[in-house]
Amino acid sequence: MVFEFITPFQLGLLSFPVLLLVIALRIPLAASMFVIGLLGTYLVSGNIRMMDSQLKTFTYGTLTNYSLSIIPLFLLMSEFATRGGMSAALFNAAQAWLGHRRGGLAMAAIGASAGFGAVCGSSLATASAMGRVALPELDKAGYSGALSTGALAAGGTLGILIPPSVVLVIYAILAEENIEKLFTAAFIPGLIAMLGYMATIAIYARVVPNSVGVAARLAYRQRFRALFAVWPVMLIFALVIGGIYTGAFSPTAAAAVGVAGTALVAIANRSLTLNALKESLLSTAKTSAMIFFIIVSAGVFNSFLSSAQVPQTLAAFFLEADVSPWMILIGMLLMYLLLGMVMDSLAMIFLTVPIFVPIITQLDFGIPPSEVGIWFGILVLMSAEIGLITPPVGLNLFVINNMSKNVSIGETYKGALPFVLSDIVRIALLVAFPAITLGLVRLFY
Amino acid sequence: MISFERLETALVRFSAGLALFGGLGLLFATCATCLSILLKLGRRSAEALLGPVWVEEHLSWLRPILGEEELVTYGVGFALFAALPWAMIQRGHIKIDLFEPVLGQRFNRFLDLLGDLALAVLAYLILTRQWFLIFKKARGSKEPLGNLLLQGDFEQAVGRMRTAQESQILGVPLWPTYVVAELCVLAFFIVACFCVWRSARALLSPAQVGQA
Repeated sequence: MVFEFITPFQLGLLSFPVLLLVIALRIPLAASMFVIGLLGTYLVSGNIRMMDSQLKTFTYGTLTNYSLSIIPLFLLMSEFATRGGMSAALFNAAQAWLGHRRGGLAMAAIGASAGFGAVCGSSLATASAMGRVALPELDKAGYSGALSTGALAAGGTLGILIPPSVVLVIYAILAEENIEKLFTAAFIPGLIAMLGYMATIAIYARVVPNSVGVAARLAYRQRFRALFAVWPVMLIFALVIGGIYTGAFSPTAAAAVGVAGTALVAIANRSLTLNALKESLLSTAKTSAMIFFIIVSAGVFNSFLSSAQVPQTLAAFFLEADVSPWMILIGMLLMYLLLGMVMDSLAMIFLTVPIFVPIITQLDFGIPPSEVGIWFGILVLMSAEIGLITPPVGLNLFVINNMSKNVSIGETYKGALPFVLSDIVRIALLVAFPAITLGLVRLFY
Repeated sequence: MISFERLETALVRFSAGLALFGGLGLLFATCATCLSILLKLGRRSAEALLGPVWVEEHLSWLRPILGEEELVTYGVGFALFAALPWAMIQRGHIKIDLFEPVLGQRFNRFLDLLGDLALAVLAYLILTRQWFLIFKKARGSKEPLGNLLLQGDFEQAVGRMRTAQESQILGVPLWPTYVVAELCVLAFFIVACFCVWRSARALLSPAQVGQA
């Protein structure tokens, strides 16, 4: 240690308020974590050797890592899916089957978002792709601005709730968990999320009857025709997720298959022009570089925390403390809800997971320790995703609100509230019954 | 003197071009994986229909691409390194803007400058440290590479690069990948320096914010 008056653990703890202050001052998250991590490493080790070695190898090692290659590939897949015209086919199919019900068109938007989430790992991309297609239809059918924008913002979160999910990949990296198992575990909770949102719309339509319009009932022939039109999406999902679940492909290979599949569909729909390809590659480049720079920085910061024994000491403290593991878990999830209101979900995950996971995996929840990290990953995903639809920085709300013509942001906030409640009910259900999350994992692995 | 606007246009074009060139790495990784999967499927089908011995004798080329994972790793790695300047010039790095409205325009610009400066310093540190990877002292004398070059001992200097690491499966030398990575980080550093200038300019001349 460079300083005598402070222990490495105290320094590690002190780094958190400093980090939060620096990022609150709008310094990019990556730069904040990197610089504080480097300084902390120097102060703990007392020499620049470790810092030097991190600078030499961390960036190259992280950017040329086969397992991490999955992230840009999933991002590119999402880009192609967004530009490939799949959202319209999905909405048509969902509309054909659900549109005539009370609130059916909004339910169709949710169903289509879930379908889109199956080939897209990003929440914002799902929200914007579905918003573009579904908002004008909902408006035409007489749905209230609050319900239509709220439902579409919430539907967007299905992009990350239903595998493949970029956020889940990042959790897997930070928590050193198995990506295949996490994708498998996310499937049933993702479906429950979709059904929960549909149920929310059904209740909303009964409580506020004038918020919904009606659409004509279609003959079964037309319904099946609309359903048949989404076979490419189903095929890509079956190949990517089926390939991962059955072990036929590694997750990275499955992501590459997804890129090829979505590209082929986009080419067939004549929507992948040279310009669209260029835009897709540039958008993927921007997001990937941003994510990877944070991964490198988080690596430096977490290495400092480990050298200061912060996760280990905190885990030991919580083990010895006379607090129920469930209270600790609920406390952490509540923290995600609160942080989600002011912080980007990725930033939140990068900051908390390396600290929370070592603590949570030491606690006894009555399930095998090897499964706790998987279960917690899904709970983190679900809790972090709520931040996308809660004010003041719920990004999905802004994306959808910007697309709608005459809806105030206040109305959108109001419309999203029932879906936030649905999220909280679902998380409570997943906390109370871990088997919902772990059932498929136990079946497959 | 080079005008700011011309330099900005040139750097935006250069960063976009580099990111797109890197994007080819992503497409290459996709094609390599899919081709490898198709070859694997083809081999399995052929073995089931014609028997493994016959396939080995007559269709020995029908097998997954050797080192597919390495091709993907370096294809994607190139895409990521090449994307660093683009994310920088596009202000793509996550910031928490919660307090932006209450901090005042001038202070926000100052913070933008500070953020860009931090990224530029990091780019510089990575650039100057990562350099070591190219000329790793794998074998031979511990003489610094700079000294070797000054002494005119080019043979040993090049030898150092050659004796550095090789990839595990394909056995190709890794130093060219380090050179490419280093060049991309150099581009990142140059763009980051420009971004510092851009932010400083916005801070000092409020009238030109729209162009910055």
